Amino acid sequence: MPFFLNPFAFAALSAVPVLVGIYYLRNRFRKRVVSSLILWEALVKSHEGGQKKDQLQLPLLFFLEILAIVCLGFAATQPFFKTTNNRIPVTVILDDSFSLLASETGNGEDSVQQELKEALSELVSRNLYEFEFMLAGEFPSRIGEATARTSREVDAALANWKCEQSNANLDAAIEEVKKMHTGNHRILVLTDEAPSLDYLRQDRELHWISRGKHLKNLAISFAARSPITTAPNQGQQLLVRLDRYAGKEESGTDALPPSSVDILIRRLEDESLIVRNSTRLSPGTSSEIMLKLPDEASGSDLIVEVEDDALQLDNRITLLAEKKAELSVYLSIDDPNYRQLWQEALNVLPQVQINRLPASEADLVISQKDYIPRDEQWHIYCPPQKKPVAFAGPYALSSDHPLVRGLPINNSIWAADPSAGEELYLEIEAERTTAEAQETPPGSPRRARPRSVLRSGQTDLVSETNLRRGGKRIRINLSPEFSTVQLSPPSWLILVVNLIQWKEAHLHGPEFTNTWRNRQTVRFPLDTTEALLTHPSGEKSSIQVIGGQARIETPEVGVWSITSASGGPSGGPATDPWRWSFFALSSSESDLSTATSETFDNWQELESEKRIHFRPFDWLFGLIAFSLVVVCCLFHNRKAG
Amino acid sequence: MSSQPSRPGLETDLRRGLLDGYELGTRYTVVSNYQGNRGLNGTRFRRQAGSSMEFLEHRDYHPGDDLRHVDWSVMAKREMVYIKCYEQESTPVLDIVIDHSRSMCLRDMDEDQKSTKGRSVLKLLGALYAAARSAHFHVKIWLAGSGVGPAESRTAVQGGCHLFPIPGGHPGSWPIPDFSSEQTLGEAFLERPPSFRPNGYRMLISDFLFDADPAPITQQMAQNSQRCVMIQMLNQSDRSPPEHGSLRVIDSETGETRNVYIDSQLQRQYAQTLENHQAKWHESASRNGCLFVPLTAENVQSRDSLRELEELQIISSSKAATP
Repeated sequence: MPFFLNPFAFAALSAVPVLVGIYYLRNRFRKRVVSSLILWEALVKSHEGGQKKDQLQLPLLFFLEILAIVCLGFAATQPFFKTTNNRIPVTVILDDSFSLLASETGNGEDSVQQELKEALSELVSRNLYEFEFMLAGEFPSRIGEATARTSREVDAALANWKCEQSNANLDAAIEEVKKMHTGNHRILVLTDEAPSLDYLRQDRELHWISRGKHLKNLAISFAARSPITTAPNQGQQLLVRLDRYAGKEESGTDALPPSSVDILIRRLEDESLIVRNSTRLSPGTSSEIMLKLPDEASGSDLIVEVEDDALQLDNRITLLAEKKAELSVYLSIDDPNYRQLWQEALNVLPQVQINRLPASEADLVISQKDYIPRDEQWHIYCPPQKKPVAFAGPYALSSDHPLVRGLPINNSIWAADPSAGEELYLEIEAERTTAEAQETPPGSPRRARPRSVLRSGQTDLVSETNLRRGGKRIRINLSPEFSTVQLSPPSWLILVVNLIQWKEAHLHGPEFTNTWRNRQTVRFPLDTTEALLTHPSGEKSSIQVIGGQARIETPEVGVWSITSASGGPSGGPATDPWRWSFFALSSSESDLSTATSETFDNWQELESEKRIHFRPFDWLFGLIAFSLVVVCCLFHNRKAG
Repeated sequence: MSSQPSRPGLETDLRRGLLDGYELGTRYTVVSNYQGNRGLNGTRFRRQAGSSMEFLEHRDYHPGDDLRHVDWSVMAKREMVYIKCYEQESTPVLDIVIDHSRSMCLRDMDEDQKSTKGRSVLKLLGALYAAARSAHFHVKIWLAGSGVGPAESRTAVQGGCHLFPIPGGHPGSWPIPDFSSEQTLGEAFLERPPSFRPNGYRMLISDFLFDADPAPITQQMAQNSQRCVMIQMLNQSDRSPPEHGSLRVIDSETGETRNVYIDSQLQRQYAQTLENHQAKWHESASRNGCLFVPLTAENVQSRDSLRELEELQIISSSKAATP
């Protein structure tokens, strides 16, 4: 829709009736007395047919002149468009944590999310912006394929805005947008929290809309099921943490009376009640409840729920039964002391089966000799020690490495032969060089040089090397005779547990069975390229498996399942898909006392930017008028000629 | 019908044209194509039985001959009837016919009290009168169409061709034709043609812009004439239509109107029509032994000569003229 900076210039259109008058006067018949009509008679008759042509020529010129006047008039009004190209790009960061589902009535119509949508609609109706959408989540991700300008496009993009995440990392999302866009790019945050002062002070491009509701809320803030380890075969126990958050009307009031809370444990398949437990909680307090599950429920998938309130998502979670995963270890250590050291540590872990399978079929091979692992098999190489040297205080090159998490080694002595296993290293290096010269098979991780994990001086104590097709060789250069590491049971045990858990994480199946994280990694056999994912809603989708791994984002709370498109989880028939439960649990999100409802507007300058982004097109009318004048002149000259 | 132009300014303008023409005509003389001695009763001799004393020859009697010219003595001797022929003394006559229709005094577009065409007609009339008088012609002026009556009565006469009553001598005393006839030249000739004197000079001045068969008029003009000249006097506006635009043309004689849009195509058609019209009259005049001379009023008005007539040997300068 065009706008006019100078609408008074429309008065110039009054020249149109003037032109009409001129034409009227000009086209009136001039009187002319002639000697006789004898010479005119034949001409008048013959001209009647051709006169129509001449009359057509005349109106054409007339209309061209009219059009020229109109164009000049419009050009004088300085028309402009708020063109779509000049819309201000805005990335909308959507808080998708479950706290946005808070509702006083519980039916969702007055939820925080709904109110934020209405606030966004008001911005959309200004026709000043074009929107991209990004879900904050634990990791920011974009939704919607193209920029949205109209309400319909915005609604279509927001259809994927499901607030079922346990956390929304708004800061990470803001930083991500800033990295992606520079210049005149705006950021709009739709959330239920207040921004930090730094944002308000510094970010002129940031617009923050909060529509939080401070409501009382009873929430399950933690839930886990685990086997009872005090004695074998004692069944499973359930740990549930309940938080009762005070509402706005209750806050500031001391000594609120406790009220009773029922915790219901149901079976997932038929929702039959297994356990009912009651406790009393005052507003602003929490309680941790340990429940022993009946033996018949140990292998069942469970639902843990409390009564519904402002936030329903934290009142009901699903906990699937952990599948017992066995890890086969082939232990081949000649030194009896060293072998015992390994065996004692491995025996602590119930999932580890030692030497039950031959080396070729084991998941993990621990040996002091050369061994070439098969696909996805790990080899723990413990080279023989000829001239060990004791090192005090070995250090870890990366504290995030799975092997050294929680490993207390600062005050221990680690003895190792600096030249131990060099012959094997040379062999490995030759193999690596040869393999790199060839084409790397698809799906195989690129092999690299041995990566040092633990080190002392120039000596690698623990290092790892990625081999072809998921294979890995971990070299533990340790001389137990001169070391104190093994004398400190936690250090050695932690190292072995880390090793086993790291390997377990590389076994086929989902990384977590019950998780609040919205990203899941599922490992498949290396030859798997495609998997079929089933959403909690029943929707199915196909996902790509790369390098035996499928990384899945789970925006929806519930039980997810996945199976290889070519067969079951173990490569056999597709009968038993892997399942995991994703639930939203977060005490910070369940606590609605920090929710605010306010608009933090740093976009006040935008009103002045309107004029900058409006595109005038009076030049177009001027050009047309000029062209018409030229055409009119040509017409006149032609007639005069 | 008024005997004077309707407006005094126009009469003055026309009279000035007449006097200018008379003054111009004194430098010319009408070229006559027959020669002879001048007798007492006329200014020229003719080869017919006449009344002079100079015997010419005998010839056979033809019925209708005057019996007074029979040579009775010869008839007695030869028993044949012969007629005695003498040199005839005659005075040459010039009949000038002026188209008296309104179109001959078409008013100028820019000034209603002036008529270039009418002034040119009277200038030509005055010049021919003076040139004829120089050549001792007896000049009779005819108005084709209702015109001015006898000088003493000053009444308008009815249609047809009438003698224009000129007192003689200097045209300063002539009445001025009012060019008010509603008849065209053709209609006037049809109703009452001029009674021309046989073997006289005849000149017709008109614009010939009327729809009529030219043959009867040219035959009337050429019959028993020594010489016949038909002069077409046209305005420049008659020759070419005005510039582009819508035009309502009004017939000066009938008052009829036509609406027409002028463009270059119509201009070409108009010129072609005029050319065809002139060709028609020219052809008819030639067939009857007449000269058809088209003149442009503006040229006659502006020039101090009658070059076109001179080139056609209708008139000549006084020094070169045969007495």
